[in-house]
Amino acid sequence: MTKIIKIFLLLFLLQNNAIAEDPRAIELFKEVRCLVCQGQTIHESNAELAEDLKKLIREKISQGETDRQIKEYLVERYGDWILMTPPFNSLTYILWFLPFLIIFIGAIAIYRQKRSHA
Amino acid sequence: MSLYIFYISNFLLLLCLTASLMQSSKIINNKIFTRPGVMVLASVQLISILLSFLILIYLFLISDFNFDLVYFNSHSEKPLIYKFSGVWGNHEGSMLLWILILVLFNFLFALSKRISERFKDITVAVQSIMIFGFVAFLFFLSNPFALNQNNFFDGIGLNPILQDPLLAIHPPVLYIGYVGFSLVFSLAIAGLITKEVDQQWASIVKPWVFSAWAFLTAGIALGSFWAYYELGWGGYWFWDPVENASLMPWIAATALIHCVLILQKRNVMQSWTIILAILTFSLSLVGTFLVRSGILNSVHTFASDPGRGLFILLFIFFILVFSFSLFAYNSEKINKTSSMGLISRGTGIQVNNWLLITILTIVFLGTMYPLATDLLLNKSLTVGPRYYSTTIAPIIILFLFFMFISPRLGWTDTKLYKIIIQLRYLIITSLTITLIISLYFELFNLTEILIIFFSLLLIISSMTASINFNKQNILVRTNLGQNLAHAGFGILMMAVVCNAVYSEERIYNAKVGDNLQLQKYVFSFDKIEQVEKSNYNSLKAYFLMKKDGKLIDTFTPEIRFYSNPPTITSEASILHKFFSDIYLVMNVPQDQQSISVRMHIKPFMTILWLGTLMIIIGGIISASIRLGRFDEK
Repeated sequence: MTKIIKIFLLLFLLQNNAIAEDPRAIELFKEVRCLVCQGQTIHESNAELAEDLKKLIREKISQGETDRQIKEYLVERYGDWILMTPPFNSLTYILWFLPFLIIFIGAIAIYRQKRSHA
Repeated sequence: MSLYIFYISNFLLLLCLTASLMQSSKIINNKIFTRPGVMVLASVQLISILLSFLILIYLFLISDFNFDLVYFNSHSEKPLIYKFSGVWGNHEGSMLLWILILVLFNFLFALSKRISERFKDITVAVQSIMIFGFVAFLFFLSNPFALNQNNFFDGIGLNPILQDPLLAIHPPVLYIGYVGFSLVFSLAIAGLITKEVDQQWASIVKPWVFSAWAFLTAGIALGSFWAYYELGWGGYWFWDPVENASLMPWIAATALIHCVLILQKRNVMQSWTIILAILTFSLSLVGTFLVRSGILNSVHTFASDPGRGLFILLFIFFILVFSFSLFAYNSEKINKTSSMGLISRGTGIQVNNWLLITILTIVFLGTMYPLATDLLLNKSLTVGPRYYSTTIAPIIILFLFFMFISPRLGWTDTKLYKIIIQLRYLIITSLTITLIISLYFELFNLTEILIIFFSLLLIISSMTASINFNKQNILVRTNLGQNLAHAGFGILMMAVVCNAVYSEERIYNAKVGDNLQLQKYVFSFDKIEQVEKSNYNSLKAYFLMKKDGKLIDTFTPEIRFYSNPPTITSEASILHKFFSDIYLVMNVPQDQQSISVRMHIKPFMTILWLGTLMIIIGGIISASIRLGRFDEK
């Protein structure tokens, strides 16, 4: 274990110039799920696969692709699962609409109950 | 020696089983077990479990690796506090802690006076059925006192991420919350059986439900605070399935405490209160045990034995079927006809009850929907934070509005325009502050502006309501708890929104000597050194924070290398200021030969915790004041 630490220490001292991460890349990292972790984004993960995805996204950004193009590429390659926010399609109608349906039902129920008592 | 302990502790568990069985039989009006009385049996239940819990603590403290549980979850070189907290840092031990709190509540309730004997008997009996179920589960399926045949020299150790002082108290506090609702559930069942769910019932329930709620709030807050500084991602809430599992009973319980209040004051909404009591406890069970079953994978998963998961599912199923059939059979008899005006305080509370149920549904959907599509359609989905924030934010606006207006309305029909005229100064003040905030920070998102506006209304309105300036001397009113909690909630919501909008983050790959920029601050990477501790080694970096060339503070984030079991963790270094936190954390990416430094400015974090603290204190005040009031009767 101490050996590993020593190697790390050495590496940090050898490194040069501080490189800042592109804020746009950070925003994208927060939208992409880490494939091998438990519900984390690649932003929160240090796993090898997450680092690979980050590299891929950085490259795509430098190639001038838009956020949308990058996301579409990822979905095509890994499926809807890769995005942290579920897409809006036939599979997720219930997910997006049910909350509003419930509010609506409640509003009618409470109003009718009050009316009948008034 | 170990063998004696093994026999004694298992005997204690069996003793509790017997006492609970005798206690349970009091649910039917029988003559078999009239002696020994409720109090004697409750004491036996408490003492037997308390002793076995103390034995387990002793085993962890002396590191007796003849016991499987100690072997798998402890290590002789661990600091004493983590040997101690390791007792509940695992499935079996946390089950025993859960049962200990269960019998403790049972005992405390048995102590309470001025409750009709029949009602007390039934409540304690229902509680004892649960004690019986869980002790049986512990004894047969997850016995903490199982011996192993090998002579292990040392243990495997506790997950380093759990080796944290805050996490040592997080489970007990959370459990007191969860288990507190077991008593509320027992009281609801007793109310259904005796068909007496009335104002008297509400005043018996109130102190219990409020204290359980306050503890649950504190437990969730502790977990959230731990995630904030320990996980090193700069966030405090991740909408992770496990967090959601604790949030769901909290939402149901929040609805419940308000219903108990209306029931006590107006004797209405009996059925709904009972439904919420059952729902809250069922969700608490889901919260503790589904988390443990391994269906939702996370740090919290201790056991993934299918037998255990099945038992819990069957138990929850049994409770739901039993209580809802009892409810279906008796609900007609407990309901009184209600009459409340359309624009009244009651309606406001009802509306917010429904909004809470909607939020509960959203959290439930978000947690369960991906599981369902995965199992039924074989299609994987991820439901992340953005789903929750987009769906919940508009509901929060309505919720804040009703929280603000309801306490101002009377119990009978009130004219809305009169209230608005009465509150004109308050509304104008809030509007002005909101305008200043949104112009100053260039904030033009309508949802965010509205949340800030209604939060401000709620905060000012609650704070002015608890203090009465009209009298000669300033008078603190009895609903101080309510006003404090409501103002706290407003502060919390405002902090959440501001934090989400103004957080800033920079990530650098850096080496010693670099200067890193974050807003107006410069961080000089001064040095990095190796630190050796008893249970880990670490890399400690020193960053000097400067503003206009002047040194303000030193940050020391760490990367820790634990050996038992081998794990690498990042320790954040945080500077707490009143208006914003500055947060530094470093990581070792596996394929990069550099140190990755993350710097966050997290505005309003201190205010966010302050709001949460106000909610908890408000809950405690409400619990204790009601207790006093009931005793007066």
